[in-house]
Amino acid sequence: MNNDTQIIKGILEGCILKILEQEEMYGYKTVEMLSNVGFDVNEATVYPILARLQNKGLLKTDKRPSPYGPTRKYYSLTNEGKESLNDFQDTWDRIKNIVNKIMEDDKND
Amino acid sequence: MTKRDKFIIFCSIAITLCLIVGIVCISGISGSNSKFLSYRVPIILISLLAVLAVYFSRIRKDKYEKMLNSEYYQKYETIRDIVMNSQLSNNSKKEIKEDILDILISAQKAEKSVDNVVNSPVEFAENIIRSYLRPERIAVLTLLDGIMFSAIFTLLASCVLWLENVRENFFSTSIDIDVLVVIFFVAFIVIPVSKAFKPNQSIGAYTLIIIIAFILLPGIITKVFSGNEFIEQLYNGRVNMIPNIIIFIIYLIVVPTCIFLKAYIRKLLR
Repeated sequence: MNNDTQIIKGILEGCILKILEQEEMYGYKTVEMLSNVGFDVNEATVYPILARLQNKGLLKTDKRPSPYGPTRKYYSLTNEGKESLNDFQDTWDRIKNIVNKIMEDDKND
Repeated sequence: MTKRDKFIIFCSIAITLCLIVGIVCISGISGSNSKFLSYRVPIILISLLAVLAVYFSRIRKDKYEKMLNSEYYQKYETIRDIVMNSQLSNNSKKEIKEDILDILISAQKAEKSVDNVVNSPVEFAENIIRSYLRPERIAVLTLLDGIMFSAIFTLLASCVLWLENVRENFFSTSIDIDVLVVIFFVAFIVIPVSKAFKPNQSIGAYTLIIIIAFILLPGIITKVFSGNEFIEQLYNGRVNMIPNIIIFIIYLIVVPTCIFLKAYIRKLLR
C-alpha cells in the first residue's frame, strides 16, 4: 500500500475521525487501532494528520498525565469534526457504490 | 549531538578565541596596567562562561528525553531541532515536542524498532510543520523576521553612533552604507538560508561563502572597481536612516507590528 497517495491520506483522515468519534484516544493508541484493522501506517504518518485535523478545528484535545512520559494529548471530535465525518461517510458510500458497480459489471462481462 | 549543534559549539569557541587573541594583542600594544586588566579580564571570563553555557545548552536533556535510548534519541533530536528552528509559535513547538516524546516513549516501551516508527525524521518534522503552517505563510513569517531584524539593528547602530558623539543631534546621525548592506544581507539572506539547513547537513561550504562575502568581497570589489563612482559611494557613503521623529516612531512601531502580524498569521490564517 502506497501511503503517500492523497487518496490514502484522505481515507485515513476519515478513518481517524471515525475511530475518534467512537472513543477519545491519544496519538500512539490511534496508530495501533489503525494498524490492527490493517492499515500499514506508523506514527510518522498519523501524527501530522492528527495535528492537521486539530488545526482545522475538527479535533479537540484534552491533556492528561501519562504513566510513562510528559502529559498525553487525548483527541476527540468537535461538532465540526462530526459534520466532516458525515460528509466523508456520504462521499465514501457514493464512491464505494460506483466502484463496486464498475467491478461487478466487469465480472458479469 | 547533531552537526548543527557541533557547528554552534565550534563557532562559540572560535569567537571566544578571536576575542581573547584580540584582547591579548591589544594588551601587547598598549602595555599592561591595572585599569586595563580590570575590565578585560571579566570580558575574557564572561566569554569563556558563554562557551560553557552554549555547550551545556546543547547537551542538556530533560527528564523525559533521558528516557529515550540512543537510537530513539538520535531521531528525536533531529525532529526537535527542525521543529525548534521553524517558524512555529513557541506554544506550538512545546506542544509538538511533548507529543513526539509521548509517541516515541510509548513506541520504545512497546519494543518497536525506531525505523518502523519514524523512517525519515526530516520528512516527519517537515510534515508536522506543514500541518501547522502552509509554506507560503512560512515565507511571509521569514520576511517579517528580516524586517524586524533590520529595523532593530539599524536603530541600534544609529544609537551607538549617536552615543559616540552625544552632543550631536540624534536625527543627524548617519550610518555607513556598507554597514547597512551587511545588516540587510544578514537579515534577508544569511539567517533565512541558515535556517533552511537540516540539523545533520554540513554547513561548512555555506559558512565559507559567507566569510568570503563578508571579508574578502568588499576588498576585492573596491580593488577591482577603484575609480568607479557608484562603488566608491557605496563603500564610503553614509546615509541618515532616522532623519526625524516620525521615522523614529515608525522604527519603534515596526517591531510590535511584525510580532502582531506573525501571531495573526500563525493563529488565524492556518
